[in-house]
Amino acid sequence: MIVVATIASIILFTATAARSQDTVRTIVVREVVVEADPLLKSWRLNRPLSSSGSVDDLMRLGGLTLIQRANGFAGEASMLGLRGGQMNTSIDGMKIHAACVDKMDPSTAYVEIDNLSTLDVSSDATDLRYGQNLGGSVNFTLKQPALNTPVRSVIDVSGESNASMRRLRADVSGGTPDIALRAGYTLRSADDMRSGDGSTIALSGFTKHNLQVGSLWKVGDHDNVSAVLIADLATDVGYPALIMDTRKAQALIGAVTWRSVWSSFVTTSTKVYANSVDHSMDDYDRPLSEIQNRAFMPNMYMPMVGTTAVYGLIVESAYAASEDILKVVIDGTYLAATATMNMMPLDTTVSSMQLTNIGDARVGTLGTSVSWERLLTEDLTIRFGTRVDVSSRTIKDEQFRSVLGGYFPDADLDRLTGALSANVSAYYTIAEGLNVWSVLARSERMPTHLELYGFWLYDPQANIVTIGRPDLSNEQAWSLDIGTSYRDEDLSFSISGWIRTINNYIAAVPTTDTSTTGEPPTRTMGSIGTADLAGFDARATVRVLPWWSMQASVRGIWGVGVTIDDPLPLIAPVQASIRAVVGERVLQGELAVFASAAQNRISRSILPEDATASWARADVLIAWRPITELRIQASCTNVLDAFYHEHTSINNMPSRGRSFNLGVRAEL
Amino acid sequence: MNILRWLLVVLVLLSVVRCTSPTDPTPPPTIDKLLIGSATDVGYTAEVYANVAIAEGYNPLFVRVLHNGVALSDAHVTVIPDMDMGTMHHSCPVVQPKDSIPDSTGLYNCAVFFTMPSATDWKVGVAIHDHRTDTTVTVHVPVSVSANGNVRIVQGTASTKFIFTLLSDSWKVGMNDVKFNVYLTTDGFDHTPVDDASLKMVPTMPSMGHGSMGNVHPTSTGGGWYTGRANFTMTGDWQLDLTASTIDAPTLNAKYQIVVH
Repeated sequence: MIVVATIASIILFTATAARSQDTVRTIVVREVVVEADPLLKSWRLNRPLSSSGSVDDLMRLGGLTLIQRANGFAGEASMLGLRGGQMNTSIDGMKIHAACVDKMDPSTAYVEIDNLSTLDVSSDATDLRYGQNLGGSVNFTLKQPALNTPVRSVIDVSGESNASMRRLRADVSGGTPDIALRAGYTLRSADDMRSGDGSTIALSGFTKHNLQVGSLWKVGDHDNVSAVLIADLATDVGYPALIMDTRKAQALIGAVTWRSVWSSFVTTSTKVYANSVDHSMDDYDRPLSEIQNRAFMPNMYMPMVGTTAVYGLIVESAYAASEDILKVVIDGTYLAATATMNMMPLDTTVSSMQLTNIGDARVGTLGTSVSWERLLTEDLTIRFGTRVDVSSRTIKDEQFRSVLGGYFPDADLDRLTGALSANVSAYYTIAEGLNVWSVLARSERMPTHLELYGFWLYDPQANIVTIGRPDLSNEQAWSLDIGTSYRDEDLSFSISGWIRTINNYIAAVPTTDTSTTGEPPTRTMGSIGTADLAGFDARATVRVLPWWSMQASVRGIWGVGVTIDDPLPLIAPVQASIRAVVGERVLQGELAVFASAAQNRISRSILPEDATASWARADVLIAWRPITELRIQASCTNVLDAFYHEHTSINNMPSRGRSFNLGVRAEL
Repeated sequence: MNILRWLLVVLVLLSVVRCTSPTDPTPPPTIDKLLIGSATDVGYTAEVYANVAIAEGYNPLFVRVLHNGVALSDAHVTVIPDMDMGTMHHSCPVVQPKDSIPDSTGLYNCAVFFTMPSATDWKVGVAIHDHRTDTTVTVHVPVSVSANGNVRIVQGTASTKFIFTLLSDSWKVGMNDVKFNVYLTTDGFDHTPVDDASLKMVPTMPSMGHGSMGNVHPTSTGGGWYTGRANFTMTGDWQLDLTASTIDAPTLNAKYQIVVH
């Protein structure tokens, strides 16, 4: 793939510079920032590496774990053992909600790498700007056209041998002193993939179109207004690990942002946005024998349709002085979500059925976050952060209310609730380039609309049916992060560790015993009490020679449901990577090895799963840039054709086998 | 000439007066219901009306009785359903009219629990005691009863049968009021409402292999009626499994197939 993502800063311990009148000070944040387009970065210690043609690849580079249900498509982000509503995922701060109740279309499925400028990953519970979370925040910043730039176009074509995956990107942008425009189109398409054992995974292909147009107007000396519209359409996406495939998934994402510099101290940004997601899936492509013999709901087709719409407002303001930075964010959203399933029995004497999975759920949330950083001494910075949310939750579909009201006669289907999170951090510079930090956070998050109102949702891995619970309590967590880091021109490293204890951990709680009937057990969302998570992360980059650098990382997570004494599910085992990068600007080469330990510490009751064997994979890449405007890249992923699956791959769907890739990128 | 005019006017007035004489039968008013059937015997006519075509189970009926075309306003009306198939002869539970005075539209309100469908074998006997003439006559009105599966007849003891009737409804997704009626009979002709049974109702979808939660077992409301609640979580074919127990009959089972729209 031609668009090469780089880890621009592995961990930016000294990354964010806040400028006051004549002072540049360094603020320490624990954040991973991954550039979507590494060619825009300079050639430096963290040099452009690693083929990345999708948002999924980008998220992996950012240290996220993906819960995988398809072939390189729509991976669900997970980090630090947190997933779903426990972490916050946003696109330029905007909330986009999946329309599929079976998690086949996480919000990240509706953007392409070409829409993005950076991926910002915060893993210490301090980033509360765009939503409550228990310690994980992921925000994609959208690419913006730039004023005063010549017209520039990029054509990027690439193909892979495995799954005949092909990708086309065309992009044109430019700007006058007063207005800038950008338009981009991406096509990605794949056939059925081949796994490392040589077998073809049926129904694993997809086709995806993405169109983005953006504009920027300079409306005053200190003001500009930008607008962006993204239209994304995926069709015939196979989900071999599930029992249905996506027929169509489409999203329209629009936003208008007004940015203003009020003074050298004060800036503001006001964004109004809206997005809609429509997702339809069915099992029409599945062989009749599968329909007849599957464990869950055999002998019928069951197309499902889901829609979500989100309207939002984000007002951000920042005050930056020599010793203080104060940021205030007001974040309001309104979500409407509906999902239904039709069931058409093969036996024509049985009536067709329709089930409402989400009956017009409405969630309106208004949150305010405040963060204040203060430079106490030249070496010591402290930071306080807090966020308060108030949220109304209801369902509008009268029949669905009646059904859910029957299940939970004592629950209030129209709730007004709230959440409060707060954290305090200290960052201390021991010596030049050497820092230590610690974060203490109390986090709280409200249940998602699926956890509250989702009805009859099937989990194919655990073979359970889950039902939401309208009176769920918030999850609350206490967490402590500590770490140290060092950085100079030739070496950077970081070591960090964290512990987190979560109260009212939300999970599907068994409610019916179906062991004698063979039917999938029904579970109701509820609290399983207290859960503990802990982990570590260590990584280093060293420039061995001016033309040779090495990177290494290792991380591990441990999680347990304390109250019910069961390991937490979907926890990635210890994973490590080693990269060797050689070359210079014209010719670059990379050898990367990724390895994962076995995961035998598995959940048996929270969300039953099986053990996963250890695996290792090697990738090689060569990139040639004969002239600045042309880059040719050849690579081979999974060189040894290893047959493996990640622990977070649903139903053990294997990863892709060896694939040869060739791409050309030209800039005009 | 004036005399002739006045004579014509007098004749016309006399004619009008004669037409409105109480001694002439008044055409009975039109009934805004579905006429199920009617029959006449010795000058007495019984008309059986319903809101909809009658079917198995509970059917509110409306009876109008006329004598020589004049609606009776003071008569004792008794409804006696009868099914005679030659090899089988029986009646079914009935709720008789409460009063000898019809309602404002001239109808006697009653209800019949037809226990099986038949296009030809049911007759609704209407026994009329005309208080004005002290005459008693029974008029048999043939009716057609369609099938809907709302009635289950369950053997209780060796000599008793229980008749479980599910009240028809337009079943919808969500919580639905569900009404059953329980009658006891020993000979097929006399039926006694049962108010002391314990009923348990479980809705299931056999084609899906699941039921639902939030259901409320039916409890007695008198007159053999029991009311509960069923939570139909989706459209399609549902089954109501009813288990009843009384002092004399510990376990009685009845299943009903219904369609939720």
